[in-house]
Amino acid sequence: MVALALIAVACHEQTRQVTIGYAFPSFGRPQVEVARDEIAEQAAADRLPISIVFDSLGTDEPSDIEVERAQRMVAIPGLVAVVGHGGSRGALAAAPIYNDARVPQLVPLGTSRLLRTAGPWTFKLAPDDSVEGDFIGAFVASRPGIRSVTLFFVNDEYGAGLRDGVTAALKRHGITLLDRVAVDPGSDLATLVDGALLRGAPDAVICAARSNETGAIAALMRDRGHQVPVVAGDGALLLPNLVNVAKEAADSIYVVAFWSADATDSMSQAFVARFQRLLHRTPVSSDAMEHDGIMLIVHAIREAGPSPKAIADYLRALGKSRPPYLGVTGPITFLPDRPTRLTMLRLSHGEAIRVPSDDGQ
Amino acid sequence: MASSPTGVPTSWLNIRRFSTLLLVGIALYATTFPIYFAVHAGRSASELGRRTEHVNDLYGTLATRSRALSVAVRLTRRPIPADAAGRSRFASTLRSQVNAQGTRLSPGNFAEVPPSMRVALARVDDHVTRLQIMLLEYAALLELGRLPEAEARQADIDGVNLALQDDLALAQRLGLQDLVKNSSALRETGRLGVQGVLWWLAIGITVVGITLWVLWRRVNRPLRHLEAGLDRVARGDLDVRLPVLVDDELGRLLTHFNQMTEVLHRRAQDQGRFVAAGELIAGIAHEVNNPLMAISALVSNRLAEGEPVPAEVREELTQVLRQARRAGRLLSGLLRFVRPDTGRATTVDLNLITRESLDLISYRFQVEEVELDEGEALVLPMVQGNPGKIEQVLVNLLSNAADALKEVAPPRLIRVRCNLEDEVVRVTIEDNGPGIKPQVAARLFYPFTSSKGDKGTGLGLYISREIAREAGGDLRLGTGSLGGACFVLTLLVARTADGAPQPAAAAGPTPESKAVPASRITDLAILVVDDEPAVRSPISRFLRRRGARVEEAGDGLAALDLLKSHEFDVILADVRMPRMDGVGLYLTIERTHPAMMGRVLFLSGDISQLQDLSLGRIPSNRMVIKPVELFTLEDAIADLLATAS
Repeated sequence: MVALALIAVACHEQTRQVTIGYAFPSFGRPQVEVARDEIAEQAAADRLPISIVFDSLGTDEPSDIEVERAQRMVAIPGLVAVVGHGGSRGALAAAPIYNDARVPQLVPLGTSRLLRTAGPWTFKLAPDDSVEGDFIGAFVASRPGIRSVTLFFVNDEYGAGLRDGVTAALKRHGITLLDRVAVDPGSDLATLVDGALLRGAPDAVICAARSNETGAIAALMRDRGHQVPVVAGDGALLLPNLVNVAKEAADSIYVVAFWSADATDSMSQAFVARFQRLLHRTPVSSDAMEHDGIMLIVHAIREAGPSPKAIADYLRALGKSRPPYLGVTGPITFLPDRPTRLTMLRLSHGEAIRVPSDDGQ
Repeated sequence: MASSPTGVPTSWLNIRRFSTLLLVGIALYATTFPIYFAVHAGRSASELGRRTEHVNDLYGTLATRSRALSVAVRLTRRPIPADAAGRSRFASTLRSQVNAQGTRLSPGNFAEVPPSMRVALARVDDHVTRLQIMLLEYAALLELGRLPEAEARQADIDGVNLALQDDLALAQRLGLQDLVKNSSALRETGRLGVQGVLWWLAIGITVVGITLWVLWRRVNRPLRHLEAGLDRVARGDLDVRLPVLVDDELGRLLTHFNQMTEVLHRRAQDQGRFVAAGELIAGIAHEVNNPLMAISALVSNRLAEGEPVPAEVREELTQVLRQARRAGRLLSGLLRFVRPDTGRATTVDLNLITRESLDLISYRFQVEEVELDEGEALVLPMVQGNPGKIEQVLVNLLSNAADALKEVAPPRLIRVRCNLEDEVVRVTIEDNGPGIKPQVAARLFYPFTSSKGDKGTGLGLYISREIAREAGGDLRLGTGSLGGACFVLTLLVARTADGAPQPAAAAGPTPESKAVPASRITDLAILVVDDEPAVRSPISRFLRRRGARVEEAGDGLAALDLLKSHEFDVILADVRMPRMDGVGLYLTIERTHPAMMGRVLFLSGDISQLQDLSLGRIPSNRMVIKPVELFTLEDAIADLLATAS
């Protein structure tokens, strides 16, 4: 059984606590430290003692574990909102619990379009998988010399959603899809890659998968003598794990991100500086998304009041009766036509570097 | 519980609020039943059905996918085609079969699954997905021609498929257990529902009992007290006082009842004293009227007889006569005011009644330095109404004005004006007192409203207005010019049979008139019967001087003796006499001398007897009230004879 950690990080030691739940795998815990630092900095203007309760089980939790975690969350006294859980699958598993308990659930990283219909108390921060798939398709189509691709996808909501988005985009751009191969964490990727190559050698590989599968597929393609670009969705952007698995093939990997640390706006620069000061590494897209999720809830508490309904009303009003919230990743609303800031990064010497829109490589 | 000004505890829960709460309670009681069932039983059943349906759908989807993959697994057990092309077709078929089963189930679906089944179904989902991937791997190995590996992978596929079937069976077993458990829960819910209904009924019966008890205590009991009190009042018991336990609506009703019976009780006591005073006054009047009659007759005779009297003595005798007559008028007025009123009279000589009302209260005006302004005398026609009652109204208004003037320093003025306007006579009585306060004016004619505080009963003006309205008129508050209160009494002019205004009676002869009229009783034989010689003697002397032949008797029996030996034209008899009074004499004459029945004239100093007599066999026009002017007496004798003949 995975170890359970329940850590309450209080910003102020007050009797009347307002609690935000943070439900992510254990590797996300540092986000709390960054958020706490920013909240403490704003404490002079903040009359509310806001605390963040952190509940983590480790990586890749099954959906039933996510449900149990959500049940623990809603039982916490003073809980006003939750940021999480993990990716699309975990967030979808937990959504019924929060909707029953009428607690706002802000999902920073899940891209599954199913999250939009998970319930009125579930708010999806990341763009839909169809949008991301379309972005990936357009990126591949824009690369010179790419006429055919092979698609690998994890057989869950994230992978399937991205698969459908990419497939539609490739069809629109006239790119030949040689094969669509379902994979799982326990799959024999070598066989699946070899099998896929039987249907043709692609000009590029698209991976709608996590970092482990993406890195392994990139390495296998390089081993089989196919040094083609491997374009992955946001789920693969877990550094340095992706680089470690891909090894020499890492530099052939392109990853979609919702934000890049080299963004020049002042908010992004301040966030990067704070992140590096506290955690001694450069933040990636998921770091920024999770940070925006926490700070958006904090802002909602300050603006609308420390009640779940007030926070949910505030989130729904963004872009309508209220201006969009200006986060590190850009203006945030929860409207269907919300503009997205997708960025394509390329791994280079272990770092994720923004790909200029006119860069051919 | 607070107290009202009367000391009775004030309850927040008055009857209106209690009724409202009762209705709300009944509504809540009635609506809570279905709400309870909807929430407790209906919601549970609905939730149970929804979850069961969800589990069934989820299990059905997984079973369908599992069965489809089992078909693919069976394909892998077939001999592998020897040629590459055959293997490729075989792999293609296998891939199509596998890809048709789609992706793994959404984790959102598992959130609705009972925890006991969640792991088993999730494992089934994982196995299905894993089996899909392994079949795809198997197909890839076939296409790659890596047949030994494909055969090894086939064994793995069988293992996973076996585990899948086991987990599917486990999920099915857990599902059935969950169904049984849910059925038990549903039965338990039903049992609790029945239990709840019983409790609810028990609570309802208890609440109904308490409500009935409160109703009995707060409504029924006071009503029974009120009913009993009204019965006692109807039987004449004005001492009844009802217990007032709570100052709610019924409590206030009982308080008003007690106040009214108390007022009625005081009024009855006043009325009793009033009647007793009337009787005393009547007795006194009889005793005083006889001496007054004697004085008046003696002085009249002395002044009328031809013997010379010095001017100074004549003046003094005239003064004595005037005062005696004045005292007589005053006594007559008092007797009339205090006598029981039959209410039968329908016309009023307002000239006379007004004069007499003023006479009654004139002494008070003098003592309290009240100046009376009667204005110019006006001869008014007769008006509709009862004289006694109208006099009561006028005396009440004048008395109220005098009371009001006590609060102001002299000069104190009361102005009385009578006006005739077409069909209506208007009597205005105003004063220069403090006037009526606006807050009192609005309720001035309501019962129990008084501007005199505890000194008044609060019924005087109410009764006065009722009397005026009974007579077809009205009594209202007017606007005067003296700055004080102003009351206007309006009365309808009485009409004769031909519709003309009925004139007032002509004024009687002036008592002090010095002109001696011609005698109307010359040579008449008159028997004067009176027990008091001081009265009998001067009357006899006057009658003789006027030419009559007069005999005297001291009582009825003496008169009867005289009747045996004498014949009389007229018998003038006092009513109250010893041995045989005037009535006894009259009734005896009826038997012994019926021809004399129409020739008996009665004298009485007690006007209160008039009513009794007039109700008897003695005609009312035979009564002459002492003290009477001797010339008036002469006229009465002459008129009686004229009528009798």
